Amino acid sequence: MPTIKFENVKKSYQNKFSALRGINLIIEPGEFVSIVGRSGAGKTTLAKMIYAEGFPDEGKVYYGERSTDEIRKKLLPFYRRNFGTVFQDFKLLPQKTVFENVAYAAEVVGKDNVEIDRDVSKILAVFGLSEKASKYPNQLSGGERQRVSLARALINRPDVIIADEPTGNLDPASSMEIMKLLLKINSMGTTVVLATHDNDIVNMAKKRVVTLDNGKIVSDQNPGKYLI
Amino acid sequence: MRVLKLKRAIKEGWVSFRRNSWLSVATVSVLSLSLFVIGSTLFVGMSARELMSNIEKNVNISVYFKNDVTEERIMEIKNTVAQRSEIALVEYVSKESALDKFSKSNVSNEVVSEALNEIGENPLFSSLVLTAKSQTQYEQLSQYMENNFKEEIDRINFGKNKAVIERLGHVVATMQKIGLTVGIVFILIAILVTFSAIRMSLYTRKKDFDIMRLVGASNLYIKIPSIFEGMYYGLFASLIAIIFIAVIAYAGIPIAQGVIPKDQMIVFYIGNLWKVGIVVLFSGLLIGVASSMISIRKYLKI
Repeated sequence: MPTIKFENVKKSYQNKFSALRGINLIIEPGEFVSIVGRSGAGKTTLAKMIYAEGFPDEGKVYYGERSTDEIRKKLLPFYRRNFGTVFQDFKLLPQKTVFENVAYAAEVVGKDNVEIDRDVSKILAVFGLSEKASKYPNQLSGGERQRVSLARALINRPDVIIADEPTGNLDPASSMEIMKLLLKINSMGTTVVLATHDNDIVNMAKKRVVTLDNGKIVSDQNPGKYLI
Repeated sequence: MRVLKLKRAIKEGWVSFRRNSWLSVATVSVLSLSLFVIGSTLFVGMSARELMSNIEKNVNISVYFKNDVTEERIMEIKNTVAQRSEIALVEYVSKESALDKFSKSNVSNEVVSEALNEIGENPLFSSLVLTAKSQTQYEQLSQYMENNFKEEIDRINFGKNKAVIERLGHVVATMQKIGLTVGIVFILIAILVTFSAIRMSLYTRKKDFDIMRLVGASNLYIKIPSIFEGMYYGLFASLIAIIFIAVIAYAGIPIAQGVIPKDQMIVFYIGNLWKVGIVVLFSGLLIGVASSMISIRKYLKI
């Protein structure tokens, strides 16, 4: 599995202070890294650069040997298949059922129907969603939705899971549940990058913590604690 | 792999068409209205042309010959005239058959039949009934007859109200021009409205497209189902439009009956409605697919 590497990354937005400044960061395969900091500290910006949804103004982001700015636009969707993504707002397709939402990610990569049926059923069972398979996202609770989105992120067995505030819309119990799932996924070898400002789940994990403040890395500890 | 993706795209488009039912109903309604305008403009144009050619077919001139011209001579003239390029049909009506026809059509009129008895002999003339290929050639044809057979001709008669027919011709031609202009304007408006309806329906799903890209779908993979969805819009809308056109056309039969007999009208409808149907179907598919393709491009920028 390739290593994720940030090299002197700088990124600014119009009419704003620079969102990221002088970021140097290496994430090894199989690591569990929490990126923490206040809102606006640059967590999301940093996470997006990994799966090439955003690009640095200066510096480079590498996934393995190749930096993200070298990827041809047309090939970006294929690059993104290396990553499973989970978001605060779940990003489920509202017109698709739970099963179809998870299956869609597998269809996209061209798996055949038999394989999809088998894999999706299996992962829904693991995540306790079997009974919800034919429900639509708006018929689910927040915790269930996030589990669906996590199932979708995992269906193609990506190298890396990037979770951007996955517990932002969840109650503490559901947050813990999601966090346990992320840890379990990590324990099976998948790299997890978690961007969050939820100190409870970060402290529970007892994993590496990178703290961002004002676009700069102010601490990087392994195992670490939520500082700010 | 390709076949699988295509199958998925067809299904995906269909599922999306069905589940976004409100948007689909709205879009299909707008599109079927457009197609109705396109189809009926076309059909009215075709009917007007059919009507005109039917009227034109009834135009002819009768050339009456003096009583001393023999039947052989008239046949000779007939053969000469028949060679002319503008002639569509020459018919010989002998004195006797003319009388026969005349008395038959006046059988209930006692005054006429008494008058005929009174005269004792056949008062009518033998004639040639000439039909030209085009309405504009009658003037020329009657000139020709007058110049060449002046001695033998008693008189030349424009059979059925040439002036009226000419005026009608002008009216129909003007109507066709106006119809075409109005039709084109309507069609353009209809296409624009449909285009924006489809665009709206895709706009509401802009977020979905972002999600699809995020889970690794290529632009093409997102685009193709939407194109099929556009096709479904076109398919359903054109079916609705065709049904409406057929029903209204059928209801219009009595109106045209005065000029064209009902049987002939039905034959015309059967012979032409399917042509309109095909045009409507293809326009529907074209508008649906083109609108989807153009709209989605806007929302698929990386």
